[in-house]
Amino acid sequence: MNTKQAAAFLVAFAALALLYALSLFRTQVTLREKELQQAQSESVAAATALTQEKIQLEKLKATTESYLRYLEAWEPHFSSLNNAQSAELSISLRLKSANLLTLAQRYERINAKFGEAIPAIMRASLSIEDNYVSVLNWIGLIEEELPTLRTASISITKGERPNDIRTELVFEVPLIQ
Amino acid sequence: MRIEPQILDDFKTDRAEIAPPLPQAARLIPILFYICVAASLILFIIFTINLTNATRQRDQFRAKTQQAQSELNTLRNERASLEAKAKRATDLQLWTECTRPIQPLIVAIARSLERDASIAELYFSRNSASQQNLDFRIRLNSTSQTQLDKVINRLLEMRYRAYSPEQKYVRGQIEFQATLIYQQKELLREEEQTPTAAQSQLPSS
Repeated sequence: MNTKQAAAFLVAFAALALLYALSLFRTQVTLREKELQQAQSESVAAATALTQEKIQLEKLKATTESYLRYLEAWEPHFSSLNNAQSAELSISLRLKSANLLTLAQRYERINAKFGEAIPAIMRASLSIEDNYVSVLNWIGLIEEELPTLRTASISITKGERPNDIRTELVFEVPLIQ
Repeated sequence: MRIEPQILDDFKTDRAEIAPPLPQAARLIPILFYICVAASLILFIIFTINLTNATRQRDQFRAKTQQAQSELNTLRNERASLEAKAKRATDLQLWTECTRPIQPLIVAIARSLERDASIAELYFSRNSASQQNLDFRIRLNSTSQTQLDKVINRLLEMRYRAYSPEQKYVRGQIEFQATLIYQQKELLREEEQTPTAAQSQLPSS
């Protein structure tokens, strides 16, 4: 190969090398454009999912509005007696202040699930014998002052004295999580 | 004397050709090279602009996707929280359905008694199958069916209907037992309609 041929070969090679480099660059651009398309479709999908989620959330808010109001109204009452000690104290102090003749009282914590929110209850078993007006008024007051308390059972029989009644009461207080 | 050109040529040595001339087609090579350079330059500029734009737009879309994803996660958390609160409210409501005061029933029954009647035993208990209902038992020191009907009517006025009633007469007493089922209209508006214990307070003697 003479120098002229070598020079011609080199020039041709340089031209081809230039074209090759350009094609590599073009591949990069194509790749980037594919990434762009993918990013665009992902963006559209995310926006669609977001819109759907917003609609579902609005629907849920509308359907749960009454439940939230209910929870807002009742949660403080449940939270005020959320442990066995406070529940026991609330009943025993009221019993003491009413000055009723209490024959027996027993308090026990029972791990019985009443739904996810109420894992346990405090059960108070009371035996009271006193004037029927005092006893019934006291039961009415405690049922009103402790709205989350429920009377599981009540048995009334005649007491020793003429206007007395003997009352066997079982109260249950929910201990919420 | 004529000097032969050959003799003069003898002073010059024969020079061998460095390179034979290229074929005519080889003229295209530099032309093509220059065209390649020019085209490459133009295409390079175009590709660079395209690449920059594509990169910028791709990053914008990715940022939008990330933001949408973040908002989506927030909304999903909010939805999960709402569902949990609704479930909690349902659980608490189920409990409060079973906390209707019993004292007003006792007072209503006591007020329904005639002069010659009295209660030997009165019993209320939450029904084991359905805590909202009450197992009710009363023993009246009377054989008057009218008195018993008054008691049942009072319970009805308090919106408790007696189901599966059983009645028997034992030694001058009427014994009556039934399951009391509360007649409710709407689940969440109970509290306004149920009489409070304050309305059922008896005057102290």
